[in-house]
Amino acid sequence: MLARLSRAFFYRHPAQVLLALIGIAAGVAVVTGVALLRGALVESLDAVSAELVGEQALVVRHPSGRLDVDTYARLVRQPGAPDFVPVLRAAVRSDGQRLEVVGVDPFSGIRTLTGADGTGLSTALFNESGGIPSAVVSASTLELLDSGLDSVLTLDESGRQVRVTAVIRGRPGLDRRLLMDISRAQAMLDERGWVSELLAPPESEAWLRANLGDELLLVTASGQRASARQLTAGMRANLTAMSLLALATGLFVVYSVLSFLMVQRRRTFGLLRALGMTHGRLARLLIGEVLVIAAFGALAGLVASTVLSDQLLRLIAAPVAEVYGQLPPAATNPTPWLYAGIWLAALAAAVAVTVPVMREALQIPPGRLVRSFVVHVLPARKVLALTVLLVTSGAAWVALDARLVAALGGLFLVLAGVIVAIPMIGFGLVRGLARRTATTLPGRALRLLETARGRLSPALAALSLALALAIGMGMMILGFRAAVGDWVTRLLQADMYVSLESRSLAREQVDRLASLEGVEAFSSVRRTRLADGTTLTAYDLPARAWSGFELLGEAPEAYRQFSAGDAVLVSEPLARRQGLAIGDIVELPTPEGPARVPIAAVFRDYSSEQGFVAVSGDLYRRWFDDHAVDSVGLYLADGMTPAELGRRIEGLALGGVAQWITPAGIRRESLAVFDRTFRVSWALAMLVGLIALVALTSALLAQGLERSREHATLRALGLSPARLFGLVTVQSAGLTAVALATALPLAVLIHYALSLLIQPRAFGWSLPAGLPPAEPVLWVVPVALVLGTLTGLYPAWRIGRRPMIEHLRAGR
Amino acid sequence: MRRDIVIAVLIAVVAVGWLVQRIEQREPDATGISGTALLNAAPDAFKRVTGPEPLVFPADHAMHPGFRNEWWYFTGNLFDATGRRYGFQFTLFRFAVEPGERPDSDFASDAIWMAHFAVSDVARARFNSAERFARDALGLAGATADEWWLRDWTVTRTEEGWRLRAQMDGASLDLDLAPRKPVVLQGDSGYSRKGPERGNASRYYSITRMAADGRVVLDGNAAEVTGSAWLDREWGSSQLGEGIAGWDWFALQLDDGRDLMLYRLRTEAGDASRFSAGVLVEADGGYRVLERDDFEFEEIGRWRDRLGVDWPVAWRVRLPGEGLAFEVRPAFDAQRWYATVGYWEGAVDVIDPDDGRTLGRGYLELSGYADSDAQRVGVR
Repeated sequence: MLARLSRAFFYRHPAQVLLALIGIAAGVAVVTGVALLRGALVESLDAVSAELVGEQALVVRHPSGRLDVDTYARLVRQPGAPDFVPVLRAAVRSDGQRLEVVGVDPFSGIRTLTGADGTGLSTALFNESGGIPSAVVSASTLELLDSGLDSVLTLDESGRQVRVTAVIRGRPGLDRRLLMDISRAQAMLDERGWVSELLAPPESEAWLRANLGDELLLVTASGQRASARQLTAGMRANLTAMSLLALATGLFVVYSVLSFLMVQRRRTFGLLRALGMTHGRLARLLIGEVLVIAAFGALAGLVASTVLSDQLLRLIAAPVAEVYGQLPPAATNPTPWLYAGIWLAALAAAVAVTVPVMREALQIPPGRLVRSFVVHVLPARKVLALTVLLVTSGAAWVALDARLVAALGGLFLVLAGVIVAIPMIGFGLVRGLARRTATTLPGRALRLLETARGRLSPALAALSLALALAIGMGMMILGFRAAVGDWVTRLLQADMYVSLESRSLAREQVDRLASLEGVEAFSSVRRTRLADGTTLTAYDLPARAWSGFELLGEAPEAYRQFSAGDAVLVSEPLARRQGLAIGDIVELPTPEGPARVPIAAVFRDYSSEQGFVAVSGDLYRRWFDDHAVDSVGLYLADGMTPAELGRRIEGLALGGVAQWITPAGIRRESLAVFDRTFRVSWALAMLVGLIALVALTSALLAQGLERSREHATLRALGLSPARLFGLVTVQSAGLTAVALATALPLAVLIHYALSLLIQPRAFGWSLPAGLPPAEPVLWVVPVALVLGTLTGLYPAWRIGRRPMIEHLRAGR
Repeated sequence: MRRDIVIAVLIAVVAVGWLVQRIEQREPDATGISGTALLNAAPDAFKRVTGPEPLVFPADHAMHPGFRNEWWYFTGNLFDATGRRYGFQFTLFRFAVEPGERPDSDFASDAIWMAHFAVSDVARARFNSAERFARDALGLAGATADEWWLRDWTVTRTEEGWRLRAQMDGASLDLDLAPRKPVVLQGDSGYSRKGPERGNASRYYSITRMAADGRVVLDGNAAEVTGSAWLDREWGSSQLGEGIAGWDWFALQLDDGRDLMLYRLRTEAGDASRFSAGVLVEADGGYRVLERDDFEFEEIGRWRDRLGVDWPVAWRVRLPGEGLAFEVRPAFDAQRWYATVGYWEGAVDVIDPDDGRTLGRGYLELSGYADSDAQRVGVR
């Protein structure tokens, strides 16, 4: 009987049920989506070695990043040597997607890998036809490339081709990889003589430590994962924070929808209690309803999240590759445990937010047939005390603890404190507005809002927070973008930059470029990842290029010390991460053993989160005997243009495809990378905003229903349905305006917190403090007002359409 | 009401079904490869063994490029001072890749090498085995007149004969092997026909008795051992020909000083092919080639492995012309390779059926039984 009662009620209110479902689904979707993304950014980032050899695989590398095959051949025949897996890796693109060629020897100690149809790796890799090398590719990668088994993939730029001869599943670490036989990969990439790394099983660690010698480095799987985790810590923290906000907003929706449903059924509950229904049975009925709604909503959320996370992963794939130099998987990799865990947690959370609603229901005395009741509002004194407590404890946490988690946690506490006060401030504003327009319809509409303060407070706070977040984040992103633009402009002192496609420039090639007519001076850059994971960048700079480094703090001797090879520079993120300062000593692994050099200066840099050490080219060559460079900067004589010199460079026949770019081009590309990096943040901010609007709709519906008697009275007093419609629309627009007004100062707070606290702690770089950019306000305010007003349309329509007489009846 | 429940359940089933298909499945297990199939056919570009040719040593101990396959095969029985018995097998296989253009790479390879190393601990009935692969590049594996190796598993030529060194998880072997009899040229002066077609043949020679002396380490416990070993060398292309499903191969060293090699090539119908053959080597090294009708086999015992494959591990063998009749029984049953190629290769005893006396020892190889069965060990 009770089930039928619930059903009948839900049938009469499909919109509310839908809202509750959407609220739960949206919250679950964002949390699950972000959990899946976090997995993709930690577990499967650079998991090639784990997939090829095993979770605990060991990796042997040379400090230069390349290992010559003779070293491999010598090692492999030593007594007791492990069954090394030689691997050759190189970044490529196909169909615009970033991929990596992973050349392996299928006859080495590689784990058994088979295609979806049971084809063995060696069979697949040696199955050549038409002279096109074979590749084994994961199913999700093929989906990404819109290809299938037996298709031929063309690698961009070079036009080289590979044929897909087997498809593997369930190995996310091999996503975005073209697994090839190492001989074919070496030939295709023109890398004869070299491999990238050797993989070995974990039990060979003792042998490796005893036999590798000083020249080679051993990276353990845990070290590798830790560095991947550290690499993406900032991005993951950002995602997590957003997902928690989304969840909180989603729960607001659930709460307001449920309390709305509650309001509607006060009369029924009163009747049921009068008919002898006990508290226990009523509680069971309510919990049962919530569980059913939550179960379906959460299920829909899981489906939505999986689709959402795959889309978000595509959004961040390019920035992850550009910024971190790592390829994320092509698709997220959900597990049954994750799904089950989140589903159950969603049920628990839904029941938890129902508790206040349920308490309200259980307090209904038997026979009470009146719908309306007052949600108690905290007195202003208590609100202020709570706000002060939360804000001061948040601020104290940030001040006393230098970790990223403290900055995020502290910001949360401060925001929570402000949010508690927002309804009070917001309804103060409403009162003020209502007084100024006392005699008009809007004035009356706003006064009515005041009476529903308890019901509307959570929705107002949620909306205000979502708007503040969108605006504050927008401000931070734009401010950051401007800082990056200035930094790139300052950094690039040459008139044009030349490199060879997917290979480095030999000394002889650099000399030929430098001796071209019209070139006054040149600079060069060589970037290497050292065995301990540190990135080393070697610069050959003319004196005038020195101003490209924006030094943080005073270091008058820096240029002399750096050029003489007596000291190195470190980028700000590295200095922050490792607590380094001018005068400190850094230790760098070189082929001749660890080199210890002092730090001459710390410079501003936004190019990498983990940071890097800058050394003079001479010092680098002395250490590593590597005379190649990655790119050359050319300073042109008067009258020479980059375009003209570019034509001459193309005529040089450098032995590779020469590419040149001007500083303006680099600036454009850098900002494009920047914009891609923050696409996820925008997408998530948008989601939070949408969830907040759903919250607003449901709150207005609840309020409208509670006030149905007033509305009916207004109708009876001559207010036309059109005017009533206008009244409710004014209410929603007014609420949105108030939310915006309270959101703006909060947005500025969020902007500064993100720029001055979160950024340095998450990514290691500081942003110049300045006035927040105004553009986000100009974008968000009109959009929010329009959407907020539209949100009121449905409740307005519902309220306007209700028969007057029914609501006028006493007691209803 | 019931209709609502049905609809709700349907929606839930669809959603859960979608989520389940999204949880990616791991790849399936690979199927094993057929050892027999590797020897049945070869592209025309490979050289064939088509008739007797003189063999020259030590030059012919080295590999013979141009043929599809070749192997170096040691087996033997060893005893430590306390009389504890060990069997061992050490094999290098070379499988040539089809001739053709090779990529410009250090890893370009004309062949793939496979090595099998096993130690049978008879007292504990434990079979330790390890498989290795390497490509024929960068000196990872190879065979010259003086050394045969795959990474650090090596057989080097010494003044006396060879020194064999290999180790795996839980077991290692270091043996000096000294021939006690001259080289036996199988078939017609080393030309061993195995099928009706031209090219269904291999070059085949053996050293049927070598004194073995060295060290076995099992689970960290070292033991000085002595015993007797056997070397088989064979190469060719498409030697088996059509219709052969596998073989049963015996290498037996009798206590009276004679050695006996017998193999039965099994047709798909289960009969012995007419190209089944053998050799009886006298104590003084003189030998006589045996043809199919010179010997008879009868299966007298089977062992079922954990995958459900039955292996005929015990036999009754009769050579009426030589007045020989005996049983061959395994030192223990579980000497089966669960590797890329699934086969049974283990230490056996030669037993007098009348009084149960041990007449000798040796090795038995059973091939082609697992190829069509539920072997689930991967090809890499």
